[in-house]
Formats: sequence, C-alpha cells, structure tokens
Amino acid sequence: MDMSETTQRRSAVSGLLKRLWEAQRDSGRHYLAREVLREIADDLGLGTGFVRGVASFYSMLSEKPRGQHIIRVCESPPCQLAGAKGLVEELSALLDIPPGGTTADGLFTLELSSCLGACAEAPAIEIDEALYTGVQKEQLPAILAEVKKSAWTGPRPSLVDVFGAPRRLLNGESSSTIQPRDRDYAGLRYALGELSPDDVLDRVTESGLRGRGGAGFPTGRKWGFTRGAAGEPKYIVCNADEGEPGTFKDRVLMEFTPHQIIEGMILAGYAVGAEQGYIYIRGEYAEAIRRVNAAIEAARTAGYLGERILKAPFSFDIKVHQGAGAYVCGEETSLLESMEGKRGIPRLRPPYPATNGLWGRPTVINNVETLANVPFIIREGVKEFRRFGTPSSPGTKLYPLSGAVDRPGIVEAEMGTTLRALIFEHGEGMAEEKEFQAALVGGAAGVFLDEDGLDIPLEYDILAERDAVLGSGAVLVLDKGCEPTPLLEGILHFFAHESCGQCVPCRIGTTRLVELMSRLKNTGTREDFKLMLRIAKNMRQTSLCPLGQSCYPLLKSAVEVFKEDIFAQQGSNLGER
Amino acid sequence: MAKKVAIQIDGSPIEADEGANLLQVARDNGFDIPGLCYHPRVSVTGACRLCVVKIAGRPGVIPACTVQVSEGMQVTAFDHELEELRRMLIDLLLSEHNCDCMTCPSSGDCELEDLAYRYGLDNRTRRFPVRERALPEPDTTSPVLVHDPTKCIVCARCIKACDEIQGKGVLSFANRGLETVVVAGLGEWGESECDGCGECVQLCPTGAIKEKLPVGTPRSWKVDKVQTTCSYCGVGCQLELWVKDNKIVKVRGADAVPNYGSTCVKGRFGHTYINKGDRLTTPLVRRNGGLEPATWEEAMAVIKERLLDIKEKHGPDAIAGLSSATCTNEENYLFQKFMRAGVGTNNVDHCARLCHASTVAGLAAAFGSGAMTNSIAELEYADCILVTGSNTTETHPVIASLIKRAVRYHGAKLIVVDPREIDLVKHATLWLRQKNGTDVAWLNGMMNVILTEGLQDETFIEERTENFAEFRDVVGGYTPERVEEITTIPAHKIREAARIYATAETSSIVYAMGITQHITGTDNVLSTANLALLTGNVGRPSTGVNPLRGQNNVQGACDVGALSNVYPGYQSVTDPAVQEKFENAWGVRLPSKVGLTVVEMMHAAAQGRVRGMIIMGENPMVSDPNLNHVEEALANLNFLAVSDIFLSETAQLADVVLPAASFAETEGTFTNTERRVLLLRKAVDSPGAAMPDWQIICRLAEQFGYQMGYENAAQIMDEIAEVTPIYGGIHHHCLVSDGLQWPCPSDGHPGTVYLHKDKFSRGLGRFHPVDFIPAAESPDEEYPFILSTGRILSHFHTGTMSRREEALNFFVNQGYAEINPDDAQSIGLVHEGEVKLSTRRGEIITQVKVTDRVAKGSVFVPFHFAEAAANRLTNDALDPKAKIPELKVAACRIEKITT
Repeated sequence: MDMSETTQRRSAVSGLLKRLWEAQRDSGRHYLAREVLREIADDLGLGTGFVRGVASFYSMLSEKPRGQHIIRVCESPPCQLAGAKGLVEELSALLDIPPGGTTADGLFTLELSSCLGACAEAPAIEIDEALYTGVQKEQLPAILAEVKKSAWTGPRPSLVDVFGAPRRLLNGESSSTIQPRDRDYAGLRYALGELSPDDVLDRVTESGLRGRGGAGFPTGRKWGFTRGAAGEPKYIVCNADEGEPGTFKDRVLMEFTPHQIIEGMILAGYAVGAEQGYIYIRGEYAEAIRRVNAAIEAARTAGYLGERILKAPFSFDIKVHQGAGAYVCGEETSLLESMEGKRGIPRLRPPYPATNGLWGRPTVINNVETLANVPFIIREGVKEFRRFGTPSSPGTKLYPLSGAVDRPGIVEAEMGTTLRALIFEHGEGMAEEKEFQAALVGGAAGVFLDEDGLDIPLEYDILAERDAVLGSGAVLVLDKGCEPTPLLEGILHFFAHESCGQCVPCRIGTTRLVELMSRLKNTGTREDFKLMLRIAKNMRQTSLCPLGQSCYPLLKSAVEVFKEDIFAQQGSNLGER
Repeated sequence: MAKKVAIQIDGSPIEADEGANLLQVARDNGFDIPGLCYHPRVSVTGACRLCVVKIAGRPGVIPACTVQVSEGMQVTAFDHELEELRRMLIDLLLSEHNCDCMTCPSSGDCELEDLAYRYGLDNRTRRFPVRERALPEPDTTSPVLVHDPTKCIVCARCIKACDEIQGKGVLSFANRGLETVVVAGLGEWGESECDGCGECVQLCPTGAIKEKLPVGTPRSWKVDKVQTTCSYCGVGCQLELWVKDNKIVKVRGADAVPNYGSTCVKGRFGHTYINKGDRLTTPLVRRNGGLEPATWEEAMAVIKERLLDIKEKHGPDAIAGLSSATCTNEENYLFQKFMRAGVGTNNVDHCARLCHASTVAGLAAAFGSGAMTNSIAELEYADCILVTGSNTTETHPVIASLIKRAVRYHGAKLIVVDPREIDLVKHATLWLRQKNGTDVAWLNGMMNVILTEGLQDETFIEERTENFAEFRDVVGGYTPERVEEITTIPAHKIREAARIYATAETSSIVYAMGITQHITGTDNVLSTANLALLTGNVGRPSTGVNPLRGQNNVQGACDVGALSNVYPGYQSVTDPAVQEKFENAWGVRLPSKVGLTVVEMMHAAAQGRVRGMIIMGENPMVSDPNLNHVEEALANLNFLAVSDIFLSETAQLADVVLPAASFAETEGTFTNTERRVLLLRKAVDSPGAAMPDWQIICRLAEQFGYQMGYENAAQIMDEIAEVTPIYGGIHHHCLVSDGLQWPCPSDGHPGTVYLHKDKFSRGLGRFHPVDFIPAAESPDEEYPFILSTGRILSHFHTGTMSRREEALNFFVNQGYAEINPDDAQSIGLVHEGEVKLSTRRGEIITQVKVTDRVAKGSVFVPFHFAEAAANRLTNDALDPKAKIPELKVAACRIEKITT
C-alpha cells in the first residue's frame, strides 16, 4: 500500500512539537492540560489522540502540572559513579518529595534525567535551564535558596576541559565565539569560489571521513546516495540529539564552535543539492540551543546563510529543531519522525533516509562531529585530513573521557588512539591513583574493555573485529572499587526507560532484564544471568533499532570483563544454586 | 499485472508477484509464519517481530512482513533458531498479558491465545511470570466497545484501522516503552471523537478492544456465523452475524466485497432491534377503535373484504401500494406483480421516489441507465472526486473512507460542493459552498469554464455524444461571474474546480440527495451527466456519475419495478410490446396507464381518489414531505393495511397490521448502490407469527384470486431473471461469493463493473441543455431562512430500527436543528436550548445546535425523529419529470421559545 501523506497534513503535524513546547512554557506550571491539547489539536486540524500521543512520548513534556522550577538530576553512569543517587536522596529530603513529585507550594518538581551531557563534571543537575556541575550534597541548600530568590541565570555553558592532540575541531577556544572567526567559512568561501558540488562530494569521499555518531558509515557515500536520489527538495539534517550516556562531545562542539557545524551543513547542502538544513538538538541542551541559534543568526547576517550565499547561485538556510527528551530520537529515523512532529519511534528500513528521509525526501543525516570535520577537509585538503588517524578511519576524534581519571574532559586525538593513551597520557592517569578495572567504551550502547583492551586502537574496524563498537567514542573509566552490578542495573534501567515501546523484544525485554538484574543483585542465580543473555541475544537479533540491540554486547562484555564479580555482590547467593 | 518472480521458502519453489509482501506470500502458500502486528488491510508495522525469517545473502533475521519478494529469494521460514526466537517473543508478550482467557470474550478468537497454544507456552514452560502490577481498569465509557489495556499487545492494528482504513485518526499510542497504551482522543473513549464504527474491534488480534456485550455472551466456537447483507444504507456491507439459540449475539464485518470487514456504527452495533420485545409477532386488526391481535386468516379476511369492496366499487386504481426499499428484490418484485397483476393497477411506488427518482429519470435520459455508472472500489483510484449533495461520511460511511483514502494515499483531488461544511471538507482540496438549490448554476458555470478554456474532450464529444451544440449554447450564458451571483460561490473557485475536474486523468462525480431532492432534481442530475460527458469521464474505470443510493435495497426495488411507470428492468408500462410480454409472463391482462407516485398517492388519498392502500415496510408518516398533509391523506382512506416489523407511526394508523420478518429472518437479495446483487441469508427465525414479506404478498394475492405459489426466494429470483433483461443471468446460486453487478444479461455473464464502456446503454450519450430555475420557495420576510433536511451517521431513515438501539441513542437521541452562530445570536438562541421552526406547512419544536457547519441564513434538521419530524416542515412541491419532492429547500422561520 502506498502510504505517502499529503502535504496539507504534513505542515500541520510538523509544527506540533514546537506548539507543545510553547504551550508548556506558557502554562506557568510546565505542563500541558487536556484542554490545551484539545485546543492545539483543533488549531492544527489533528486528532486529539494524535496530539496526546506525541505529548506523552517525550519526557520533558508533562501532562501533569509541575513546579515553577524543575530540578533534573542526571542519573547517567558517570553521574551515578560520582554520587548522583546521594543528590537525589538529599533533594528528596530537602524538598520532601520523591522523584517525580512536586512540592506542596508548587515551587519545585524533582525529576531524573537520563543524561545531561556533563559527564566530565559529574555529578550534574539542571535547574530550569541552568546546568550545575560537580555538585556536592552540601551545596544543595544554597543552590535551592538561590533558585528560590529567582536569581535566574539563564542557560549555562559546560565548563568542560578540552585537551589532547592533534587539535583540529577544538583547537584553542575554551569558550564560545558567536561571531564567526577567521578560519570559519574559509572552506565554504573556497568551495563556492573554486569547487563544483561534485568536487566537494569527491573530496569528502576521498577524505575517508566516517560518521562520528557511532556507526562509522562513510560520509561521502551517504552524501552520494542523497545526491543521486530522485525527489525534491533534499534536506540536510544535523543529528544533535546527543543522548548517549557518557557522551558530551556534540554539546561542546555546539557551545564552543557552532560555526564549524553550520559550515559543514552548508557544504553538505552544496554537495548534495539541498537548500534547507535542520539541526535537531536535544531539549536538555538549552545552552547549545541558544548558542547555535545565535550563531545561525550571525552567519545569516554575514551572508553565509540565506539566498545566494556569497553571491553564488546557491542558497541554504538552517533551522533549529528542539527535541523534548527521548534518547531513541538519536536514532536517525526516530529523529526524522520527531522532526515531522510525531512520536519519535524508529522507522522500518529500508528505505533509508538517504533516499526517503524527512517527509519521504532524500535526506542526509550526519552527526554534529561528522559535519564539523567537513570544513577542515575542504579548507585544508584531503591529504592534510588523512595525515592523522588510520587509513580506514582517518582524522581526529573527540573522545569524551569521564569516570575515574585524573583529568576528565574532551580529548581530541587521532582516530585509533588507544585506551591506554587516553587514560594514562591525555587523562593523566587514574584518579586518586586507584587501580584500573575496566572502561565502558561507546556509552551505554557500548561494551566494557578491561586491561586486555587497553592497547586496542579505538577506531571502527578494529573494535568491530572484537565485537565492540566505537559508538560515540565515549570512555567511562572504572577503577577497581567500582561494583559492576549497580552500574549494569542503571544502564539497563536506562534502556527500559528510553525504549520507545514499538517492538516487542525491546519494549518488554528491557524491563525483564532490569528485573532479572535486580534479582541477581539480591537472590538471583547463574541461571538468571544465562536467561538475561538469552533475552539480550534475542533482542540483538530481533529488535527494530539499535536501542534494543545494544544490551547483548554490553552484557556479554560485562560477563567477560567482570566475571564472577557480577555474581559476587553483597547479599547475592553467589549463584551456586 | 505485477511481474512474477520465483522464490523458495524452506526449499519449496513458489511463484509470486514481484514486490509482494513476503509474509503474505508465505501465508498464501501454506507457510503459517506467526505474526501479530501484520494485517493485510493496513500498512506494515513490523513491531511484533514474530515473523522473522532468514534470507540467503542477508545478515541476521528479518521480519518477513517488512520484505518485498524479489527474484531468486531463498527464504528460511522455519528452523530451530527462528522458532526459539519466536517462542521467546511470545513468552515475553505473555509476561505482560492479562492471561484471563477463561473469562475473556476473545477466547477462541484470539491470535495471541492461538500462538501460546501452538508454542505450548503454559504456566510451566513459560520463562517469565506475568509481571505483577495493579491492573488498570478497562475503559467502558464507549457505548459500543470496551478497551482493556491489560490485554493489549501494542500491535498498532487498531490505531491504523482507525487512521488508515477509516480515515478518522481517533486512536493513538500514549506514553512510551512498557507504559505504551492505546488512547482514544485525550483519554476516555466515550469523550473522544470516536463514532463507534468498530474498525478497531474488527482488527484487534486479542481481547483488548471488544464489543460491549453482556457477560457470558457466547464465544466464537459456540455460535453459528452467517454472512449476510446489512439492513441499513445502500453500500451493501457484508456482515457476519454470530448466532446462538436463534439470537444474533454479535455482528462483525465480513471480509468480502464491497466493505472487506469495514462497517459503520449502525452496521456493527445497530442490529439488536431484531431481538427487541416490541417486534410485531401477530397480525393486528382494528376493532373497537384499537388494534387487536388476530390470526393470519382473520387479518387476510378483513383485507379481502375491504379491498375487494373498494376495487368493485371504485375500480383498481382506487387502490395504491407502497413497496419498500428495505425489503428484498424478490419481495419488491412480488409486490409490484401483485399490484399490477393481482389488483390490476400501476399505483405502486416506493420511497425511491423521494430520493433518487430524478437520478433514474436523468441518467436514463443522458446515458440510458439510471444507476451508479462505476463501482465503489474504483473511487479509491480516481484522480479527482467531485462530491456534491452527499454528506458521505454520515450517509455512506464506508464509501467515505474510500474517498479519504483516495485523497490521502493516492493523491486524489477532492472537490466538495455542499452548503454545509461536512466532514469531507476537511479532506478536500477545494470546497464550494453554494446557496441551496442552485446546483444547475454552478455545474453550468464549471462547464462554461471548461469550454472557455478548451478543456473539454473533443474526441469523446465527437464520437460518443449527441446534442452538444444546443447544450453549448445554454452553458455559454453561465459565466463564473454570473454564477457567483446566483450561487454565492466565488468565481475563481468555480474556475479552479473546473480545471481540477477537467484536467484529471480520471474524474468521478459522487452525489446523493442534495442533488436529487429538488424540483429541479432531474435537471441537476442531467447537469452532472453533462459535465461527465463534456470531459469524457464516463465509460472508464474510476470515472462516471455515481449517485449513492440511500437505503439498503432502493436500487433493487427500482430495478425490479416497484415504480409506477415501469415494469422490472425499467421497461415502460406504456410500451404495448412490454405490456404484452408481461401479460404473457404473468398470465393476466395488465393496466397500461402510468400509476401514481408516492406524493401523488397522498394527494389522491386526500382527495378520495385513492381509497385503499397497502404499505409494505415503509413509514410515510415520518419519511414523506409535508407530513400534516400525509396524515390527513391516510386518515381519509377507507382502508389501510401495513406490513412491518414494528408498529411504526404509519402502522398505528392502519386497519390491518401484518407482522413481517426482519432482514435476518429471511432469504433473498439486496442490490447495493453499485448495482451489485448481494445475497441475504437467513440467520434466525421470525418471532411469533411474523413471516417474510414475500410470503405475506403471496397470501394477499390469493385474496385477489391471483395465485402465487412460490416455494422460496430463489424461485422468485429465477422468475425475475426471465422477465428482466438486466438481471437475466442473476440467480441465487451465482451470488454466493461476491454477488453480481447488473447488467448481467445471461447465465454465466460476469456482470458489469462499470457502465457505458465503448457504448452508452442508449447508444450515444446525450447532452441536455439545462437552465437554472430557482427553488420552489425562497426565503422572504415571513420565512427568512433556508431549511434543508437529511440524515446523520448514528440514525437511519425514520428511526424504526436505529432508534431502538441504545448504542446509537448514546450518540444522538433526539432531533435538533443546526443553526449558524450568527443567526443564533441575533435570534437569541442558546446551544442545546429549544427552538420553534415553522414553514408554510407546519411547525416543530426541537433542540438548537449552534454550529458553523451551516451557513448564515440556513438551518439543517435531520429527519429521523418523529417527535420533531422535519417532514412536517418540508415542501411537497414536485420535480415535474421525476415527481420527487423538494426536501432540500424550504423557506423557514426560526423562533425563540419564550416560556
């Protein structure tokens, strides 16, 4: 059955998420009342069920009235390891509400967030749109008092440390420059002056640049599919829905060097024949949203965006699309659904976005970091780009480094840097000189590597050979004191919480895994873990999108790395039954 | 035709259409791959993952429902690994399922239960216990269904049924992950936009969405399932009646042409009237001023005495009969035969006169056949659909869903021309809001534009039509600007509509009573025919002029001659050759004078020219225009006999009332709006002494000394086939699967999907020059509003059946008048307050519904409600050609009720 939709309905639906955000903001209590949903449905000519379906999908939208101030405590693995649980308990006690509750005076709502992207500054909390990092329990009363005084500070930037070498994407700046710097748009100026779209496409292809979102698909090939695809208009979408726990590189790129991303998108548009770009930024990244919007405005003023860019016969513009709290939207087809104003659930593939993307049109979807690499390639040339990295994974990589290292932060280093180099050279060794136990590489959807993995170059192909993934490149370092079971339970809980619910294995499997993990912690047996692996393997084989597929490598690597430690938890039966 | 490809499934060679759905192909070839979210009528969801297979050359396992077959594909459908994956997925589903199968109404009819059984997943073999949690209560707020989320498997079939099949989009998933739940509207079903069609119930694979039935209603394996044809509108939906102990316990849509499982709220939830206690179970005879029970013999004796007396004293034409569009073809055939051959008069007519007489007259004149030219299914593939005078969503709901699908999935351009902002307007490319009763003008206007801009189909006009020049002269005077003055439709919109209609590859006109129920009804119909002829939109698939017939068998009742001017098959009573043919067939002398039509009968009765009437299953005391007059007319009769299933408003006035069988208690055929003759199968016995109308008519004929010795309905149909050329090849045994569409001239003929291919029934298509004539009544100072009447979704016709349904009454339980907010304000009316409407013929008091669906200066009143009968107000002025009354336009006064 041909199920393409008419444009009339499209435009109505596409405005929905924005309308919901606005209505929630206007409500004064950060929520969407039934009557408001009805009004929006009527205005847009949509069914009320559809509108409620969308409103209830995203965790940052609420159907219940909330407090004037919303406190979100990050419960990602790095924050967990840094004592996030203690913060939740303390806040619960101070405010006298459980997580999810609202104080009687209507001032505060306490919520948990899957990841605030401040992993190197853990633990983090966000109050309204302001990020507080490295928060100690003792600071909480003062912070609350400050908020109560309505000392509204607005979004706050990440204070992350950036280091490593060579530095190409983040070289020098430690704070944002909203105005384009000299090197910004040099690649674009050159391309529009000297290169044809084919030349740009060829150079990106020759550069060997691979998708930095995790899958490592060759960017030039992806662009080529879209360029060659039938259908107009074509779109460039920048995936800035960085939700992978332990990952904060895209946030830093957006906050520090937004023009690199914008320039990369314009070049992509030029290469594939698109005139419209979108940046889908996760709703939690208020500061990034603010800065990217400002940078887009500045770029437009400078003539890099809009009609006939630099007087060339090429027009391109960019809009920011704000997410609303759903990890699964980092999956590219879910992201497209979300951009179209629907529930962010993954599509069946094929067809792929390159040919049937946004509104069914050919669409390039690239990660923030991928696009940020493009200006360098055009500006400095393919050869220079390939000077670092491995032949199959050239260039540099931003490795978000967190956990038990002395110097957490964003490490920019060449592709294929080893875990050992990241931790002991760039990261300046283990924190408090504790002993290294393992690292979780690639975020929640990644795998554990132990000492045997310290010398593996962290790049796509070599990791794939070892049943591992580079993923976002995130590295969460665990010392010997770290108990794996609560960490695993937290990650599995994260998957259950973020499962979109569409496919059976993931919707139900993730929760069964959480239950079995929690049983393992208490009364579980070895058989339970075997069953967990069986479920996870089924999910690996049958899940619709990578979310459900990720649990198996995680659990498999966990048992390989932690061995008996998984079962040797306090209160467990040691699995001997 | 799709290219055939060769594939292999588990080593067996299979031929399939290239691109076909692999799961469907596998199942069609006997590979029973499990799967719960796939349903052939909705888009692929790919969520349950149960249909995973392996395909050589592709990594991993892939859900078969997401794969299109291609040449050489080698598929593994069953192996240990796949079966284990499936077993665990079902196990996971069961761990979230409220496995209350013992008391679940779906047990025996549940796809999940079947799979649990098939994979042997009992309490011991299941790896995961059912998750302990507080079970949410079912949502029982809908009048027709119950939603129990604890039995939901989140397959999305209900959501897609509502959205993709029905085009309503009431349902959605809310929340996410394990908390995902189906919601109707904002939450509660009863508060949502749900209109109760039950498509979600039809597609739900488990017990999550079920009909709202009493505890203990017999389940699947305890009932007999009887496929039959719906008793409501003219779509002819096939229903599956679940029967237990001579009672219909539930109704499902049958997966057959033309509805393929879809129904509307009436079809699925509006058939309990059959079981109601106030059914007539014995004949009634008026004695001592009241209707008293009597035996059949007594009742027949009274009829014989009284009617024969009238016939002797005043001649056969002093007797008139109303046949019925709700009765079968066989019954209508017998009724007209009885009137003509038994009584000896052509005074036989039925309510088609009130709805589509002008269609029959107009399309017969233009094309040679007075019926829908094309088929229902073709609408979905038309490039342009022009809907006018049909509130299709409410009156022919299943057809409306096809129109919406045409727009949404096949890119059709929908043009709606209607004075009211009907539901289809939401789906329309263009909406033209004409002033009531100005249809000839805008149609001429569109044709004026087409000719001015050279968009006509010259070849078609040249080769297939006649009388073009005269037509062209008349249309020339209808410039869009002049038409704007008459109709109030902006000239640019007329131009735009003309361009869309004329330039589409296939354009289909759909109309109903908004076109026909005017004194210019025939002119209106002729104008639609002109438009189709002008652009060559006749005689091809997905084109044509398509009148939607209102009642279940109004098409058939006309076809078999229940009309005052024609014998079966539209053979004229004034044609001596035809008369001779029927005299030979029926063995008696037949009258040659055209009989009286419905409204004429009432006039004649009032004047004493008609003294006795027999009415079979009609209710003119609600359905006919100018009811006050009808009431006087019927009271003036010497004798009235009525057969019906309930004591209708008309039956209450009768001297003899005869208890008839309902549609579920008889055999025969209905002919739906697309000329498809469909079987009616007996599901239950009639209550008490009630009997099928065909048997009643045989008894009546006997009283007149005319023998009708039929043993069954099939025998009657064989006789119809003999005397009715368009039904020549139609016999009950040929109708078992999909029915047959007339013309079907001879045995073995496949029937006709669309008419006028290559040649019109009358030879050439004929253009008719038609000038605009204003409606019989125009608003004036005394009666300043335009009143129009019609049907609504949840009730039907005179409400005899639908108003006995609690579920339907939940949606609407009283009459009302739709009044524009501006008018309401200026008159001082409040929403849901009372109002008095009056015309030159009568007045009613009814409820106000303030809505901008109606234009300022207009008022709309549904006619189902006897206590506030719209037809007390309507005008019985007639179209001179078709004798159809102008039910759609009356000058009306609206008054606030001051207490």
